[in-house]
Amino acid sequence: MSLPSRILAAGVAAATLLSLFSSGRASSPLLKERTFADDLGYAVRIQRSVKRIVSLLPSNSEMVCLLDCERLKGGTRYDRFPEELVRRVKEKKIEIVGGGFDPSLEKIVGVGPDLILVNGPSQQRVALPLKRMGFPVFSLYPREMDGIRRDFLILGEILDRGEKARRILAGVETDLENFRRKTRRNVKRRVYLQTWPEPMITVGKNSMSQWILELAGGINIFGDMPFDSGKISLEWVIQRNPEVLIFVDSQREFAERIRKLPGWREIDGVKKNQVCFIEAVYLRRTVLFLDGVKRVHQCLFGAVS
Amino acid sequence: MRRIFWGWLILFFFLLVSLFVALGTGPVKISILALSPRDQTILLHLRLPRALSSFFVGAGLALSGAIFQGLFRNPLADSYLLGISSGASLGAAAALILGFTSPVAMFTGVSFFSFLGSLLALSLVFYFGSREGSFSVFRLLLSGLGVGLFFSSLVAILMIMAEEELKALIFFFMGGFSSSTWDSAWVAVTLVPASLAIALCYSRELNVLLLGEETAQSSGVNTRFIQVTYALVAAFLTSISVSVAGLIGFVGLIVPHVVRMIFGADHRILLPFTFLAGGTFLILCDTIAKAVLAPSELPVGVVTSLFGAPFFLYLLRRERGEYGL
Repeated sequence: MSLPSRILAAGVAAATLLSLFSSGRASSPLLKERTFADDLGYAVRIQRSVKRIVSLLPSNSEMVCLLDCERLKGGTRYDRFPEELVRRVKEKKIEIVGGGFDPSLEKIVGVGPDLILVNGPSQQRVALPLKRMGFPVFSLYPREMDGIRRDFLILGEILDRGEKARRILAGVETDLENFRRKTRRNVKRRVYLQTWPEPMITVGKNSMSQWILELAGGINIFGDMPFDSGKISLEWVIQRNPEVLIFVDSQREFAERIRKLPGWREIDGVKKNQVCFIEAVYLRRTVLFLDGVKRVHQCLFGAVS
Repeated sequence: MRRIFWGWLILFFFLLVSLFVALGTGPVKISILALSPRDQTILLHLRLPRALSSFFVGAGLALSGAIFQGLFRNPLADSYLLGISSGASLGAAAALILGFTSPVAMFTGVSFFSFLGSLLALSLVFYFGSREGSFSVFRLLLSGLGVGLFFSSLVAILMIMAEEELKALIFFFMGGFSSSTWDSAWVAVTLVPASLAIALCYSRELNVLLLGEETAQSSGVNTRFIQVTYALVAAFLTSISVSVAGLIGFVGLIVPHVVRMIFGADHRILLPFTFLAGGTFLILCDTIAKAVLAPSELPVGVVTSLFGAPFFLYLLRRERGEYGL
């Protein structure tokens, strides 16, 4: 083998070896960067010690903060959880870079992030220019509970807080198990959840809310609707005749009126005054979904003992 | 005359059939022979106001389209082009996002403010469209375009502020009758026929106006009065429709054209036929919107556009050259 060929072969071997080390999550602690696959299937190279994170989605901000809030340096104006995050925003330790649809590229770059967390396809408009500028942009885009668990564990590894992520999830699983044990004798109740009054909008099969309703011991009367949410008419609610009606908190005024409106009085839940309110935040996509489940359970059966 | 007679008969037949289908379609099976109190409530308080709302909103939109097209002698003129719909959108968006409530008990905030928004747009269009007390239809058209664009940008700003209201706003923009009750239906049921009556009073003058303003003036027609009256009636019809059912596109555009193709451009015939045909068309579209994705509903604006957009494109192709497009 000639010298140039040997150099070429050695180069290829070295590159192969390097790529083996750097791909996948179980990479060598000696390397400064690791590669993770995000929810859109992109392989993203992320440095080992991530210190400055910008999140463009409230649920991602919440996940980062649950693991290590000090590393969240940029968030959205809609971030509300956990409390530590709100406090840090007030203390100006977290820069608000805008909302999910209108983040400021300049503010994001100004934070000097070493990791930017975005939503799925809807934020690619922002993700692409940031990628071109050389920032590691990672899409966390869970669609169901397993996805949320998986993404939380990946984030744990990225932040070197894998153990903490597993501990939080194990705590949630234990609480869930206890909750299920205490409530397993409950007979399921047919429930209608209204997220908007005019037009009437409710939740369907693919929503996080549906998952929460069912876990709490309810049967979503529109669980056959193959969307996240959809517009329905009062006649359908009368036909499906729910035992319990849950309204998002902002609809108190509307719910007060329904007893006087024709049609609503035909519904069992209205006749028996089984009308309940829930704050929208309980229905958010989060690893802390159990708070929402307990609140819905309270609406369906009263408090858990 | 024979054609007109058969036209009336066929339109009334279709109207009755579509009303019957609308009243008979729904998730609850109702037997007309054994009506329970629940069935009565559904029939009289949910389905009937919904069917009547869709009829009169469709009739109003089609009528306003026929008037705008005649008045501006432009086959593409409608409430969107004149900025009225943008005014209504702005009102609705403001009510939804800023949480305005209606001072009139029977209206929702969205209905009331979309009505106000469209009236505001109308006043601005007339204000900027006139000069020293006189105006031309083309100036009005341009003024409508300007007001519409300005209001649309305000709507965009409000949409950026929206969070959970965004979905409701999008549904409003697509239009629908899923929340129709007598509270909203009576507005359309009373005011739309009243507008038709006014429109019919001067339909002969509107015909003369089609020949050109100068010809109309020399024939003794008070062109300015006719133009203002019809513009007000058409804009008023649009604002009623929007306040009852949100934004519904294409009814105002396609129905008058279809009627004109079949029965000619005489406004004495065109206006009442368009009224009937528009109402019937929207009842059918709403019935389809209810049924296709049940239990969820398709916004009725999607159904009308699904039929309307291909026709609009066909029209655009057909009218090329004739209108210098």
